[in-house]
Amino acid sequence: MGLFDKLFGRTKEPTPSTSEVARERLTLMLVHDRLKLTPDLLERIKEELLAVISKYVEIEESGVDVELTHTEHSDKLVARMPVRRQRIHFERNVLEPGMGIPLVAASALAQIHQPPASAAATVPAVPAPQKMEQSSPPAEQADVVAPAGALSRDVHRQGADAAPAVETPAVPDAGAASAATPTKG
Amino acid sequence: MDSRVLTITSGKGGVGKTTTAANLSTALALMGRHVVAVDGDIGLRNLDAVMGLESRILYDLVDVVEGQCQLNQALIKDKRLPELYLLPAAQTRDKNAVSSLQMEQLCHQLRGQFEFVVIDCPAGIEQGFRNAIVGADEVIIVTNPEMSSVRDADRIIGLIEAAGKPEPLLMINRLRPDMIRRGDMMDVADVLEVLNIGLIGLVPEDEAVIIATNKGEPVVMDPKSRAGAAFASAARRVLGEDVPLEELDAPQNLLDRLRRLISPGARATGKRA
Repeated sequence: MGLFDKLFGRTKEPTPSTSEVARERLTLMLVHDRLKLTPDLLERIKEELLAVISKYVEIEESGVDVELTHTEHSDKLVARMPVRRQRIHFERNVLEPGMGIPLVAASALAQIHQPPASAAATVPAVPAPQKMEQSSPPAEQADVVAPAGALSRDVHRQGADAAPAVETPAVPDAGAASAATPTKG
Repeated sequence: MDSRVLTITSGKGGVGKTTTAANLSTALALMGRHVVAVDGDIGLRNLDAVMGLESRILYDLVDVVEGQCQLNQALIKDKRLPELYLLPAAQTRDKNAVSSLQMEQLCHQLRGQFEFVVIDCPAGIEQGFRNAIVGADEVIIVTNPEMSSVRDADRIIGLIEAAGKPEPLLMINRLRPDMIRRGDMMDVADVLEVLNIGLIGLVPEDEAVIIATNKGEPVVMDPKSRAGAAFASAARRVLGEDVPLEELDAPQNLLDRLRRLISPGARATGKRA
């Protein structure tokens, strides 16, 4: 705002001139034009990036976003990939009547019956509803049906810390199958 | 004789390619160079009209390429200037009537006879464009300080680079210093920042251009026209002369001058960086 304007009492707000608007828009247009980045191409980049990163880290697919961002000094292709929060999974087994009770209940009981070492033995053989089985999508869990027999999950560990982090793998997860190996220690 | 084939292109239509081609050719001829202006806009010819030679067309570029006539039969000699010739386009055909190879051969033939071959390229990026640049030694891109034409010019720069031609030079046409001062038109610096190529000329919007076309006398022959003077300067730069860029921003009245003295925020126009 020049002296001239001040003298005549014009208090203009610093709105950008139309040529400045034009220049901004033009710069952005040219960034896109030059990259030849069609929405199609962007989608393919997103899919391929997801495939690669997923080999190393579990990604929450629904939250993946790839876009071209623009600041005054640089243009960036930014990919955002939310990492799925790690949950401890236990190998799923076919429970036979009399073998045991659902995981959560067992954990609660273990807390009550302090001694950890023989947790497996102290678990009362209460025939319990097979809660764990029902909620999982059979397709994904197909390869995890263990031979009938002893529970192979690490009940010792469960009894020892009784951490509330233990959750039933009732939440259908794409990565559940691969993460079903018991986490020891 | 080291001939030069100069193609005048833009991408966007209506920015002043034909006017530039006509005036650069005329200016070069005025300075004693042997020049042929070639109309590459087959089907929508206009170079003949801008140069005032439309009534003398017997044969055209397509006739030459198809072997219907000799090159010299199609060339029109400008009666006002002994060094200036025109090879007109056909009006009843389209741009697919000539192949890139034929155009390249034609350019080669013209090189043998002329010092400068100035090709008026049609708008677009299709066969007409490809034909116009295939034989070019140098390319001049004409643009207006306005979004659409700058955007198209950017695309054209990419295509020229892809065709293996040297970096083109820019001619910014239809500048309006009054609008630039108000902030309603991009200035020279804005356009150069975006396109990032060298500048060969700055031409202001000038009514004299339309009047010149009405009369069929290229505006460079009008001593009172600022556009004409700008085209003349550009032609001198083509010849290698170091001509300073015109100061387009001529304040019209005392109030303007005063305002610019007191408001340091006013942007400079037409100033070489």
